Amino acid sequence: MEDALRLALVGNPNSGKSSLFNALTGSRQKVGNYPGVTVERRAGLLTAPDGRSIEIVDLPGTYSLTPNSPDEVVTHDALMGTSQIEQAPEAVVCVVDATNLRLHVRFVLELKRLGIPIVIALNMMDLAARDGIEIDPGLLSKELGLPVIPTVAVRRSGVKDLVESLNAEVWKKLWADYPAPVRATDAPPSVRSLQKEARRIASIATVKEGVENVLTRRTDAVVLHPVIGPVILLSVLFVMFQAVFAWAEQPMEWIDAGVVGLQQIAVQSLPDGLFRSLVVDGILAGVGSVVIFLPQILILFAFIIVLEASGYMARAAFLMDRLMTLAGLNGRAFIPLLSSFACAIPGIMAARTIDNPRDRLTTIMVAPLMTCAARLPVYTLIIAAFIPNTTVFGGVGLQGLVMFGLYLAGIVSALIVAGVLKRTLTKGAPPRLLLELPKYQVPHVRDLFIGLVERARLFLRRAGTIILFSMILLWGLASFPAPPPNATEPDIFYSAAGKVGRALEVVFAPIGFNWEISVALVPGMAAREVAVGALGTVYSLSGSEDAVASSLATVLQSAWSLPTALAFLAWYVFAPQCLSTLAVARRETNSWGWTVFMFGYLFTLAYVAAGATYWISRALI
Amino acid sequence: MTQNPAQNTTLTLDHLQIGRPGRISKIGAPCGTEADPHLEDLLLSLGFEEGAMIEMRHHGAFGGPLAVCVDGRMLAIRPADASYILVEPAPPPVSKEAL
Repeated sequence: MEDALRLALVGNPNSGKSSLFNALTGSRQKVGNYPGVTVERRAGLLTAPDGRSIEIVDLPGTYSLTPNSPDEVVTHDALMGTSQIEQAPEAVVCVVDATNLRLHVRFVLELKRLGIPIVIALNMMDLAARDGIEIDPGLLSKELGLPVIPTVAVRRSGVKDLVESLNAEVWKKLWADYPAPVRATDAPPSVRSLQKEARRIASIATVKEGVENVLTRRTDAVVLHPVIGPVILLSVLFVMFQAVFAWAEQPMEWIDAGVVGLQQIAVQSLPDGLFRSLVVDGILAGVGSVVIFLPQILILFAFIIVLEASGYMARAAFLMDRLMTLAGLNGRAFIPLLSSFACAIPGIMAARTIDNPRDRLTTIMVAPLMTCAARLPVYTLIIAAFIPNTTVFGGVGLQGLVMFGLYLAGIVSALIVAGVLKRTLTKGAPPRLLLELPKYQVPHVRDLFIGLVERARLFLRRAGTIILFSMILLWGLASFPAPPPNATEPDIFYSAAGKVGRALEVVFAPIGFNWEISVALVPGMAAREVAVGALGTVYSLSGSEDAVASSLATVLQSAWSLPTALAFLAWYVFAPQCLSTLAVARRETNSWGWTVFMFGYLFTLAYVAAGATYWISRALI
Repeated sequence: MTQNPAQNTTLTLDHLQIGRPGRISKIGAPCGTEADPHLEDLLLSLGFEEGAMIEMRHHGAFGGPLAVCVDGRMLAIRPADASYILVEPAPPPVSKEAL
């Protein structure tokens, strides 16, 4: 069997490249990371009608072959054949947006100089028709000296023709009509001369110039309005967070019921003993307490994917830019920071679109301050136990208000930390905001679906590896060694975990934490939400997570003082505990120094905030 | 630089009024400032092109970024970077001249 044909998909951002990739490969994609940089590597397998297999790599979108951001470096290196990780492609499919022909043709002209066979996917033909633009693919093909295939990626139209062209026979015949690609050896022409040539080609190929889309223009008049725009943005965010909580409730109950069911089956079918305890208290309770957040994470990502695909996200960056500048950040940092409300990991990864390395670093450093979904169970537990369910200021729920305050505390401290960093450690030229506000589009269901499946897979893999492992480890530490026969304290007091907790108590006692909390903080390193399960284990409870959460609340009410509870909440606004975040930060910044710095500053803030909360509330109460 | 809107003098993009179309006449450092080839490259590759039609659409509040329409594409740019783009405004609409 012959080797798979290596094909690369390239194009300007907003050319519909990812949609085309989804249409070509469907669910047969593999998303990974390029080592060293957190740029996602999307590759998929495709079988041409003649049985030849094709490996297709979706290279990050770029406006030119001059690399300006880590994303673009990957594309540049892969195409130039200088990449350590990506073999040079044997052929390139260049996605060209029919509604912005001139700009995209310039990029094609740059590509042509590489001497790799190129097929042009003339994409978004439907949007071009909508705007009254008429392009003659034949003329474009003749002028460029390249095969051109009109496509509408979101509707799969033309995708078949594209796949067809990849048949070995058709491919050969196709290229018989065109000059063989030659690698240019002369000095690269200036951007201006490329622009001129692109203008010439585009005007020949354009049969009819379009009119500007009225809908996009009218929508922008509202969405980008200096007053109405921010109001809309706030409403969108409000609806998003409401949805994350409200819509997720039901599926979360189902997952919970499923975990409880599994625990019951385990209890019934396994003999009482260590192994049953491991399965029920360690694995099921621990992993279940994490998997339960899947609905919330998927809802949040659904919003982010839709906002991104519709073209609104870039507008949000535009609207937020002024505010972000105050913190020394770029409007583009808004997207990574918003993603961080789901989880800091995708947030940190989304920072890759920021071209200035210092801005990127600052954004990465403050991303963990955004209240991620993993902190919710901790907040929910403590608030339910200690904050009275009353209303204040005429009808505002006090519990909800505290929750909102905790979110706000995270946001405000992120802005302050970013501002301080930009004035000290990551000082540099003021960040730039240069971005395209793409035309509005209705997001396509397939793209949403593929994106969500992808997120679910990444999340569950984490639950199945690092969280599973840490729960087993915690269970082991909390169960051994067994207590002496004349034990007066709970079993865990005598275990290894208990000893660790009592040792750590020396550090945490000044901020009001007892040894039980200290123990729970350790497994919380793996994932913050594990702390709830860990507290449950520590307070010698077993059973389902929900039972733990509700009865644990009662136990905590008598075991903790109010200042301790408040200090614990304050701790979790800043808590650095999340190994995955630190690992991603390490990979992304490529620096141990910055990773240690991130841990250190978060720990310090958490410690100071918890301590201040403890002592102030003690003085007041 | 004089900025009499009735005359066809060039002005930097950050001074272009909302709703007034024009044509990009030059991309480069404004008079009296140091050249920044990196910015020039960025602007060119993003589609700011000498000769392209340009129209100011929105000003972000409190000196925020500007949204401009360049040959039918919407681009966001901060005022400081916009000063790198020299624009020749189209003659004002006839109705205004009649006044």
